[in-house]
Amino acid sequence: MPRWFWLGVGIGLLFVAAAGAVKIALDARAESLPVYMTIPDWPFTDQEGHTFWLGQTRGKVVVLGMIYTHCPDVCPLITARMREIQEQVAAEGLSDQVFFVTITFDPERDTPEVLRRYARARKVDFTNWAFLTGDPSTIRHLTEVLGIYTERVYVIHGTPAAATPEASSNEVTYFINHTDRIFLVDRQGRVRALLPGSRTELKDAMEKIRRLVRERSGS
Amino acid sequence: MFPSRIIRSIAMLLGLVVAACAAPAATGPRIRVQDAWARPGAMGIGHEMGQGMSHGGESTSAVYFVVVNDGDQPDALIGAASGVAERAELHETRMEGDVAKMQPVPRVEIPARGRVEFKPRGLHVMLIGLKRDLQVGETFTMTLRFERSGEIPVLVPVKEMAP
Repeated sequence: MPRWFWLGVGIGLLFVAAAGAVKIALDARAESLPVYMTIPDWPFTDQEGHTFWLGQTRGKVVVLGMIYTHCPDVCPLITARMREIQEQVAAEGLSDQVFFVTITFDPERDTPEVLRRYARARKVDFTNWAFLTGDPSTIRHLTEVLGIYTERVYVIHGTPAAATPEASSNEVTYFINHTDRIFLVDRQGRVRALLPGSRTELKDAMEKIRRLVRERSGS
Repeated sequence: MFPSRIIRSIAMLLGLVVAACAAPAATGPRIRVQDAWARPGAMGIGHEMGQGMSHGGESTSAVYFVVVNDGDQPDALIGAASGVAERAELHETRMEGDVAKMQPVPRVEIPARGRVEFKPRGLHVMLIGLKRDLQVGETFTMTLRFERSGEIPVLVPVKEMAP
């Protein structure tokens, strides 16, 4: 064979190898989700009244949402999205690797029993899902860590109150304006994806969850 | 013979009748409510809260529907009521960035020959203080109160989320 032939083959092989290396590097980059923050290992109370440390979920991928049960509109959608994800996780045989956590940012009203009834009304599978309430200051600090905005809006007789009412009236209630978000947390307890809460797409969520499941613990 | 004044009066009256018949009839609003559904909800457990406010046990649900006005006059939805809840209020959720803000609205205008959708992350009737659990598959009645059309009863099925 002429020398130029082998030279051409060599250059061709080099191109193939380089292209392969670039593809591997790009794939690795695509696999890597950013790290936003670490979830603190603080104690909460689950829907059965048992203490639940957030650190208990280390070693599993966690889908975490914050809601309040008096929210009739957006929070049920957040829960519905998470339930949709839970069903898909089960369908893919990942239930032992993915845990779901819902934390209320209205602990004064959302007792363990209220959370239990709220979840049962929505046919939640508690096998790998905990609904948490807790000390108001702990929950306030958690919202700060996670960047969840909350603001109480008091309403009297269906009309917004100008300030926090002092009246002892059964007609007084409050709503909470809040950030609409779902968090994906890796096995080390680090937030790796911010999903748009009630607007979360199942396909997008599952694609990220599969990536996090593939990541080895400690990597 | 009739006096000319009487003849003129009869002619004028006939003219008015003919004019009234010839002019398009003003039918006013004609309201229909369709595609109603509500979210499931659990009755409150009577948890008492401090500061004198006893709303801790109240639980909520939301009702969604479409109001269609086939008439040639506008109307307005001004209230709602249902036997399954202590109160029913008109509310609207607005998204400001990724923050959901909810506020009561006193009335919702229903334009002539128009429709208004009450849907998730938008307008809805908020049921406050459920008197019983609302389970998927059940139905309940709700009454919508319109400014001109009066009260219209609506049958509401409880459904899984239909976002």
